[in-house]
Amino acid sequence: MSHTPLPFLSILIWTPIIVGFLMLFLDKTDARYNRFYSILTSMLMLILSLIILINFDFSKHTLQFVENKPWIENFKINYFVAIDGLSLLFILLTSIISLLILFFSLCEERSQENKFFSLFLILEGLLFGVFCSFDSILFYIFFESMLIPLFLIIGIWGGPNRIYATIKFFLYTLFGSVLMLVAIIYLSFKANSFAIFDFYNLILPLQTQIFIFIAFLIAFGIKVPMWPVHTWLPDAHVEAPTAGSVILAAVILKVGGYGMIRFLLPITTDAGMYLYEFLIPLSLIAIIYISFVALAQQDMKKLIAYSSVAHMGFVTLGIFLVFAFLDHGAKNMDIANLALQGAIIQMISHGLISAALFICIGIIYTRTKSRIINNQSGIVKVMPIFSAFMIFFLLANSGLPGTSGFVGEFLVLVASMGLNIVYAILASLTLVLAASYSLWLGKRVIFGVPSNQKIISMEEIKSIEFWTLLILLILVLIIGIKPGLIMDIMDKTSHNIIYSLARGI
Amino acid sequence: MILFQYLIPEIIIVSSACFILIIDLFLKENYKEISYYLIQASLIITIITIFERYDYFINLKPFTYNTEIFATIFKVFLLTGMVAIFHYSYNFLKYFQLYKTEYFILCLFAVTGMMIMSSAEDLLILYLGIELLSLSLYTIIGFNKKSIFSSEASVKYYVLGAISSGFLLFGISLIYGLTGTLVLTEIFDFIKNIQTDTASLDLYNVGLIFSLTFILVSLAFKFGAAPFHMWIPDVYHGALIPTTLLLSTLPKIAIFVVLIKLLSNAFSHLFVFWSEMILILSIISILVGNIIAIAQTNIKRMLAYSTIANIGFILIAISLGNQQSYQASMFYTVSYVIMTMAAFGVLLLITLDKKPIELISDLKGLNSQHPWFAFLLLIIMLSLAGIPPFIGFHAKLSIINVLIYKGYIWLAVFVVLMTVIGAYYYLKVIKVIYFDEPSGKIYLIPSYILISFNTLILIILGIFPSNLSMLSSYAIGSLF
Repeated sequence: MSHTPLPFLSILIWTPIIVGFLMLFLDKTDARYNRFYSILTSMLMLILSLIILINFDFSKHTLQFVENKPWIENFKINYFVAIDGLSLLFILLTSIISLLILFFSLCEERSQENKFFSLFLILEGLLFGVFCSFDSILFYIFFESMLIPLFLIIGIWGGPNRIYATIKFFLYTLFGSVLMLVAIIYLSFKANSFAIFDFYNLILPLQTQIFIFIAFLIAFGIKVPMWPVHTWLPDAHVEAPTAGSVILAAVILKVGGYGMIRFLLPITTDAGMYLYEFLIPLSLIAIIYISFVALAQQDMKKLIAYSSVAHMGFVTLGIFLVFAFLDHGAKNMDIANLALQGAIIQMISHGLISAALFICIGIIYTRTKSRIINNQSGIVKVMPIFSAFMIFFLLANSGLPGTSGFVGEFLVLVASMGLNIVYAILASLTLVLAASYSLWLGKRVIFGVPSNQKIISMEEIKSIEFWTLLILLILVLIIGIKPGLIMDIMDKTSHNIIYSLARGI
Repeated sequence: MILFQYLIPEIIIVSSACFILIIDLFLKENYKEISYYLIQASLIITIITIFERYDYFINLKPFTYNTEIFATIFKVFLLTGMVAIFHYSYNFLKYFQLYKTEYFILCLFAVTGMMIMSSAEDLLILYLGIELLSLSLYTIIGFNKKSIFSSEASVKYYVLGAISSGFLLFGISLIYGLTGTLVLTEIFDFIKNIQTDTASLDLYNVGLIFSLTFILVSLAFKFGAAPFHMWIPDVYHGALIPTTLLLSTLPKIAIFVVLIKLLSNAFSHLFVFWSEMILILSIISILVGNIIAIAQTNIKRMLAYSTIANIGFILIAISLGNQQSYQASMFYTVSYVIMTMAAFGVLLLITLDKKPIELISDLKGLNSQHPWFAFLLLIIMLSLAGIPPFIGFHAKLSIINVLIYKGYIWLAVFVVLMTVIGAYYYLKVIKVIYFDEPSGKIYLIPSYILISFNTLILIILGIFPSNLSMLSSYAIGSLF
């Protein structure tokens, strides 16, 4: 394990939190300082994460940038932060998306702006914390603290029904995570340590594993969210302000997938191998049924929210396929690796595409004050540049080859083909369904004749909005054309996860 | 007598209470605050004297009293807490022109009672301490003469409290009849000896359990554990907020100390019998507290039910009856007291249209008028709900930890699910503060420093909880 002179990860985690905390006390009359400090901090964090990326040794699968100090000695809880390839990807995603959100928020006016920016900075720091923690209690603390800023963001700046949505969101996710806490403490009792890696070596009877599996599945399944515990997500998305929706869809949902890879796969492998025949249908339902639900939506944000659930279904499908391949014996390990990598790439890609789509809807909403699809039409006549962006992202959302949306889904589909042709056929329905709800949305909103005065008077996108979308577009294209870039980052890690699992069985 | 130097803290408090009471008679109305400062000074002097002389066990029958480390730690907590409570209460009472020195004098007697409770090694002394506390509380609950609710609360607490004291005395007299002693260590020896002898075991056990039940019922009443919780919501509601602040914090510490002393020492051999009783009390408390709190609209009643639920959490750890679980329950008690003190401390500084707040909806739009206080309440409510990274989370964590380590996994699941239910009503307060539009002009009683510090402790201890957990393991370790 490499020792670095500077505690990069601690700086990465705590700087945004401390700056955000201090910004609560800043004079709220002068908005420029808030904006300046928050963008500056976020930019520094992006630079820092790039420095970490440069110094990261891709040839190793072990933890890097390790900081491990005793924290609560009575319980043997450590302050254990480190990264591997998987964490690094999500750290990059978080820092890029956070910066873009803060940047995009510059073109919106709102009350209590200092709080808005400070909550986003705190949220950014907590997300870094989640992805860096390798002590389970530390992970849990970041995982749950994350709820607080988002709860306030939706509750303060949200839509008319925000209170119902935000309390539902909070209680749903809290319910999931407390069960995980019980599972974590049980595991620590068995392993006599709270470090996540010490849980990997535990040998547990199948029945115990199933209980632990269910606890983790509820925690992360609600976060992802999986069908049938997804109902908080459309509510939260519809009521959240644009920036809140973006961070929710782009990063916070990914914590669920990340947690599954970190906890479910290695700790409760046997339980997963026992239960996968029950779990894969859950993912397929999420992919197919929720796509149909998305088709029926009248509200653009709700449509994209349901499309998020469907796309995250691919992530869970990829992860559960790994269990299936493990169950089928060691010769399938390469294809299991494919499924896992597909799931990871799907998370990153969905993070970028859904962020872009929520920003697009936010742009429409600030101009027409309506998200109802039937109230819009013919936007292309007044906002051609914006329309081009939106159509591009809708195509990416439907999995067009050449965009990042294609890569992850393709890998997961190929992997599922290796297991069972029925799964593959069912999962591939999504290519049709995603295309139909995405393109139909585009047809109704972008094309046609402007139907009312509000649309005719819409202004073309401002430069801030343009650059935000352009950066996302470039990232989506790069990953679509050269997915090897992110595969390189996590290749060793995913390889290591799969092969240590294969050795375990 | 030389032994009495170990009683100096108690002597200082009682004598300064009498002294200040007399001085106060001669002070003009404008100078009454001098007596307040004298009271605070006497408390601080007492804290210093405690540090100077501790670790002594007075065994002078019938006066058995200890000033060992366990009692000392709690006495320091009690007195420091009292200083903070006096500070909050003083601002409140002065603002509403209710200030009377007698109020604080009665509180001084109450704190003396609690100090006696934490030091007593003899059931009779213990009883005297509890009565001194209760008698002072009866009076200060009825302090607000103009309010009908205040009188109701006082009478209710008095009648029920007297009955429960009767239970306690009855249990103590039974113990005396069976064992021939009131000293805790001798009771311990007696029970230990009869365990070896089957014949006397049958003879004595029924009687011992019978008397222990009476004592536990009485203590559960004073603690506020369901199903002996009926007085809590009414008394919290009826009393002035400073009184509620006092009621909901320090006496809980004192009763906790008494429970730990009785259960871990004197009656530790009857573990199998009392652990089930306490477990049932705790489960009922957690259920009743968390579920009924959801329906409350009055903030004091809501916090009253939240107290009941928290008492349940403390008891659930005590019921496991080993050193780690006592540590966890002490950690929980201390953090609960700090959180509740901060909660009522903030609430009593907030006034709506120049009246003390009553309903949760009175806090509407606090954020838009006083963002700092809204932020403090946000932290306090999240901490009470057990959301990390605040101290309330670590308290709940330590309880769940001992439950799982003892193998009570389903109980741990029950506890965490109840935490989720509990989170709902705390979130409702946050919702009112942050998301609702203001309904009236909220004025603050200007006193920011101590309450801000009190709240910051919740964050600091939340990020660095190991000091508090070390302290509780040290304190509990000294008993074994």
